[in-house]
Amino acid sequence: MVIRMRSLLPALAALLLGVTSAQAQVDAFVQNQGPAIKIKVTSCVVSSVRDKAIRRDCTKSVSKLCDNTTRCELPIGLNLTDGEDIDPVGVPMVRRLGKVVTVVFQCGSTTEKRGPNLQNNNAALILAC
Amino acid sequence: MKSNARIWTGLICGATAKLLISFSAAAATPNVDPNEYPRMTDKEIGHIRHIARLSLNPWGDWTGFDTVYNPLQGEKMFVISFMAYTLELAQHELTPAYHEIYRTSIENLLKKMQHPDVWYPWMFESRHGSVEEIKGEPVDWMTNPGWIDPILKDNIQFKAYIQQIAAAYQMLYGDKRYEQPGAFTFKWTGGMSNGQMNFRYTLTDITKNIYEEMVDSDFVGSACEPGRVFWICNAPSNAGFIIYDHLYGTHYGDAGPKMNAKWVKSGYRDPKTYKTVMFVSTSLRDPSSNVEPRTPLEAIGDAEEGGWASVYNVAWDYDYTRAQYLAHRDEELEQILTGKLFRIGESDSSRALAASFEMKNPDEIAGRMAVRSFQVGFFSAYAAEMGDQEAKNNLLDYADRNFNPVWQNGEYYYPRNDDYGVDEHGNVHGVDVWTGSALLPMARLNRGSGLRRLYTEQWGEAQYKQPYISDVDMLAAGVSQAFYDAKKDALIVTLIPGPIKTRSVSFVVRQLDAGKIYELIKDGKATGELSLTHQLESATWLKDGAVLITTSMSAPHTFVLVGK
Repeated sequence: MVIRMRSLLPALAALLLGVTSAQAQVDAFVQNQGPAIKIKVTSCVVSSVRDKAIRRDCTKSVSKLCDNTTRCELPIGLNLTDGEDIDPVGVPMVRRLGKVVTVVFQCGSTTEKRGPNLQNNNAALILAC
Repeated sequence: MKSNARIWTGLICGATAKLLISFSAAAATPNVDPNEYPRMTDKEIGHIRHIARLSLNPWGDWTGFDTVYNPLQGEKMFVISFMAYTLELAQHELTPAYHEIYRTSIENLLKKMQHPDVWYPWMFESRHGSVEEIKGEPVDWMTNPGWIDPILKDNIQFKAYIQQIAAAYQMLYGDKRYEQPGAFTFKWTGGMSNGQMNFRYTLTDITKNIYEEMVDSDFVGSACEPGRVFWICNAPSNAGFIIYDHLYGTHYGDAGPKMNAKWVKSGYRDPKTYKTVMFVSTSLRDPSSNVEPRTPLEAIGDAEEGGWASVYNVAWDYDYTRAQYLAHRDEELEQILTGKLFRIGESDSSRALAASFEMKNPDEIAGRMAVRSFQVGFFSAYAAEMGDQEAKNNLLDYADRNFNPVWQNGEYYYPRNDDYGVDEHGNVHGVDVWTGSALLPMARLNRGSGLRRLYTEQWGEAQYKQPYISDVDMLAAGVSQAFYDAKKDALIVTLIPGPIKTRSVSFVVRQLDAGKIYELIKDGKATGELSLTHQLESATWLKDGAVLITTSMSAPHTFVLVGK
């Protein structure tokens, strides 16, 4: 039994060294990626489909929620227009398709655009860098 | 006088003897006869096992769900929904004191409804199915890339099922899990410039959404595809509203009667001939205007696909539904049992659903025939709901003879077969998965009016507190009976051997009154009194308040637990 343990010890040591070395390589790889890129919202607009002149800027509220995050789940309902339907024309079921949301944001030097998506109290947009 | 006296003496002696016999019987089984309670057959248990097993398929594994029928949007959502509907029927009607296999399977099936494979077709096919046909109305806003959400507007052929199944689930179990935020979450993984999105709904969100569409359309109905309203697509939620009203005290149950009144007044349903138009088109912007029927009035085999709507309409208009059934029964039965329904050119009953099929293409012929196969399934379920035992038995016998039923690991079902050729005897052997795994099981499990009772005899707090059984190994045993009789304070349970042979099985009885003494009767023989302080050899009162009962399982065994 003692003999067996003696022969196993070098093998265990080699295995530990290998694991440590692999971990060091992974750490180096991650470090080389630099800091995670964060979201910077540059524009958010809710506009009427029927009349594009009817629009509401929502950049401020979206920035507050998503800036400096790497991933942001953004509800795109009436929260973007202070609870207000900006174009309340037609019956409710038709109004469900009446407004769209477009969000533009930066991931470092890359510009990302999401939308137009319907303004919808049951929907959330995923912004990610 | 003497002879009269003898007669009286005889009568009295006879009556006394009968009284004594019944008294001794009553002493052995305290006035509880298991034969008076619902009992599931082995085939019925086999159907439940099959559905339960399919509900456990890994996420995205559609083995056992796929079909050759794929016009418009695929069939998975219908197969899934009718499996869940079948489970709810059986739960409510047959084994109300045994939940686990039903409850978890319904949960699993509702989860499958949220799989992209099930709801994405809305995005790519049915959403814009007909908008180009709406004259004078721009379609750009209808087809804009932001309209992804499968619940937001229209698509009633999808959301109505979720509404009905979830409402019935909450009614059966008193479990409000589908009212939790995000209970139904549809994840869009991106594409079409939209990015990733999540759409989150609760049962109440969906219910209000649909009812709003009913009101906005002035009860023409919620559209399946934009601008197209089908009677059959609205049927599940028109029934589901009734259960929702029971849960929340709302008054959405008027949707079915009001839609019917609208359709009758406009000539889309004819109560004299029991015919219905397949669908109407409406304005896209104002769903209450420009309403036009798009097919002639059609018999039930066409407009309602042999009973598709009827199995829901019973919730609010049983009498009409029954009269409609009787008006069409003989014609439908004959068409099915003689194979006429499947002879190409001889019957065109599915033309509205499958009009665009290229009949030179064998696959499309099979697809068209699959439509007729589920008409067979619907008509069978319809006959069963109407309590027409003769028709139901004829149809199930036909299925057992011709649809190559399979017994496999305790499951009983009719496997999909796309060969719809009519043999020399006028029989058809083809069967669609919807029919073989959901509709024929639904027919077999329905003793008559079972679906109507699901809507009109809702469960509540009293039922949620009743004793029930759990922890049954469904492969070792099948639960044939599980019924709690509140008037007699008696729980009746029958287990039958399952596909895996075991020396013994156990089950747990929950929600017994720990302050009571119960008489345990097994196979008609009293085994003793059970209480917190008095255990039996085969029954142990556990620390958590439940009772564990163990039995051999080489043959069926019936247990009656009666409170004293």
